[in-house]
Amino acid sequence: MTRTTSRLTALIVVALVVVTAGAASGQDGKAIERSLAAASDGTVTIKNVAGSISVEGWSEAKVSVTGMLGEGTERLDLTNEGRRTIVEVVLPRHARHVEGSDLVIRVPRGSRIEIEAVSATVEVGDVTGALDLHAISGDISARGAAREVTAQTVSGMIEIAATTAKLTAESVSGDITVEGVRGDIEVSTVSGDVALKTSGAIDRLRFNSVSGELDCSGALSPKATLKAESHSGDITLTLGGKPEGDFSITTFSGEIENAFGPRGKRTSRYAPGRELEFTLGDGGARVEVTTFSGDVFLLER
Amino acid sequence: MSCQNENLAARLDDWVDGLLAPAHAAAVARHLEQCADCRREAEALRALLREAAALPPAREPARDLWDGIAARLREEEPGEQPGRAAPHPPPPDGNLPPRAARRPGARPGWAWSGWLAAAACLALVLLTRAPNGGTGHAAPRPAEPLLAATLRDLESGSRQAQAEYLAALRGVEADAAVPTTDGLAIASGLQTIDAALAQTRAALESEPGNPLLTRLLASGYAERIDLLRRATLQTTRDLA
Amino acid sequence: MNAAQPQPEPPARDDARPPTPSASAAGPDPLAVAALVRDAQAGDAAAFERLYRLHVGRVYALCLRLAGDRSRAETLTQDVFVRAWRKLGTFAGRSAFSTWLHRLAVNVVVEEIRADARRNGRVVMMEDVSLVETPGREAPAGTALDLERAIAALPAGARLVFVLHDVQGYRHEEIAALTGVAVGTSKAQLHRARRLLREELA
Repeated sequence: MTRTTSRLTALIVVALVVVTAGAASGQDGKAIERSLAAASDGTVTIKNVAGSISVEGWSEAKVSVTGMLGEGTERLDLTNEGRRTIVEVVLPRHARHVEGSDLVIRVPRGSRIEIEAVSATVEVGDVTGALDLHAISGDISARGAAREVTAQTVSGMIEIAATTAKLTAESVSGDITVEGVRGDIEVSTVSGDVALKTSGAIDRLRFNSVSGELDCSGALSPKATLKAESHSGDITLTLGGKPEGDFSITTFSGEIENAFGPRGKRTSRYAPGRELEFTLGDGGARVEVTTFSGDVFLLER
Repeated sequence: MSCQNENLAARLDDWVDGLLAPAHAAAVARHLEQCADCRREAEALRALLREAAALPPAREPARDLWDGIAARLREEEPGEQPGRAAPHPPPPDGNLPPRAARRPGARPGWAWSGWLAAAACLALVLLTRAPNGGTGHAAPRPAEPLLAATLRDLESGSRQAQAEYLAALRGVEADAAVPTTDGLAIASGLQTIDAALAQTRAALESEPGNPLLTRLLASGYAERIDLLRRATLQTTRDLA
Repeated sequence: MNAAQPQPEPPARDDARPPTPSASAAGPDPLAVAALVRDAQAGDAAAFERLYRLHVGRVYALCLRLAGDRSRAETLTQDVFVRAWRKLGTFAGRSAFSTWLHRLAVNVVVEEIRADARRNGRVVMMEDVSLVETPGREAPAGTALDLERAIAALPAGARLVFVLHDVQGYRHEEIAALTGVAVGTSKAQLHRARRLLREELA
């Protein structure tokens, strides 16, 4: 080997070492490319304060993490603890002005996913296990066929387009949009608005808000229980499939509009309150709507 | 001013403003003992400053300036169209509603390390101003004793949760580096809940014992407790 | 010292000056403002308009007193809010929004005064205050207070410092930083303003 070639080789070797070392440690705004074997139906726990988290299921028995670590973060941890795989963006003890990290994570499709974010956006798709997603101001978006979904934010938006049979979605001021769920649904906000479009029958629906609106359309299963309560938010229920059940609507000062026939009657001559009780078909389902001043609309699809 | 001491005239301003070093301030004071003219000057100066401080902090422009502002903003940012508030158009059928616009100029990381301190201040202002669930007086008692007991529990639970949240906020360093929650959204949510509670309470005063209102009151307190507890957990979370 | 005569005490450092006028007057509810700021930062123009409505009075008062005439004050007020919208993304909540807006307003007005002076070949603030400056403009018609009228009639440099120091409560160091002159000049201008005002109002 000539002198030039051997020097060149040495340079290439050094460069390769530097690059792989950089990729492995993932420090200071560096690209990430790591993976770890994982059980096909284990749990994957992901923690990233800021930036973005994007999770997608695949058929491999491993967890892979690619993306970019933000400047100022200490490192990315990718470790196993029994059947749990942990992906965590670790921050220095007295972190200030840390840039967000963008993580793209592939997980075994049957995994259960747990995510903790603050301002990071969260996206999960094509996972059949349970999803337990928590953010503060980051938006949460989930699609696919998860077994059950829990999504919680303070001010982030929540978008669920997953065919799940059990959903719990909570926010303070974030709006919540749900499409495609059925079964057991619990949604609660303080001021966020909720738009709910179910496919398949609703078995149980709980809606609670102070000033947020509910716009729900779907069909009730024969023994469904639906309870919707708000202070000033309007509640709109568009029911298809010839609902059969007992309806009880009460509002202190809101209006009631009922496409199914009976009109609300005033509870007292002196108070603005209205109540409406009627039964459709042979009963079976139970629908209760309560508001202080929100209007209530019962519509037929 | 008939006082012959030229230096004094200039010094008097600084003396009244409290800017003089003690030795010089003492010298001025000694002169004022002897010079009635300068004493009058000092008093006139103080009177002027009092009047200046009493000027109204706000003045209404003779015409509404907003349209001019909106027009200029429209020229600059074709993507964002400020103007009169318009109701949200209903989402097209079958689609999810459009996402809210992002904060202009926000960095991908968090750019709001100051938010937590600001939120802490605001929450403290809100919660310490009104110690009892946001209005300062207890709810009227419903006739049913069981329900009354439940409401009492909820009220005290709400006070407790609030005290814990305030303690958590005080425990957070000012300008803490890593915000663990959105304190402003929480404070805003509390305000929404408290406004609703106040309305319900007011209605209960004209219709004591109304079961709907009692139930709404209980829900309101439960929501308040829930929010405060979650906020406390988030505020005291250790992210490191 | 002669104990028989009452002695004028030098005022203690703290109570020498009147309390900061803008700070003591009640402003809009900070919580409501914070919610509006968040919405406006997300692009909600209606929220920004509400912020405008809540703060325009104070901004206009500042512009009016600093500029001395109504039409200029109106233009300046609009300039302030246009810049506030542009820079809204930089507000991180470290201070109250009204404080941030106020500083921004002072910056806008001072820049405009200096730019205007440059355009007209005049000098606004100089080390030697005995040089002739732009004469004060006519007092705005309809101002109720003699003091407002007298302030409007001050020469530009003296008016600037008087309003910033004695009406808005800034310190000389802050004024020096804002206007780009030495602290000594600021003090001299203040002295001149106060003297002229007392002569005018006497």
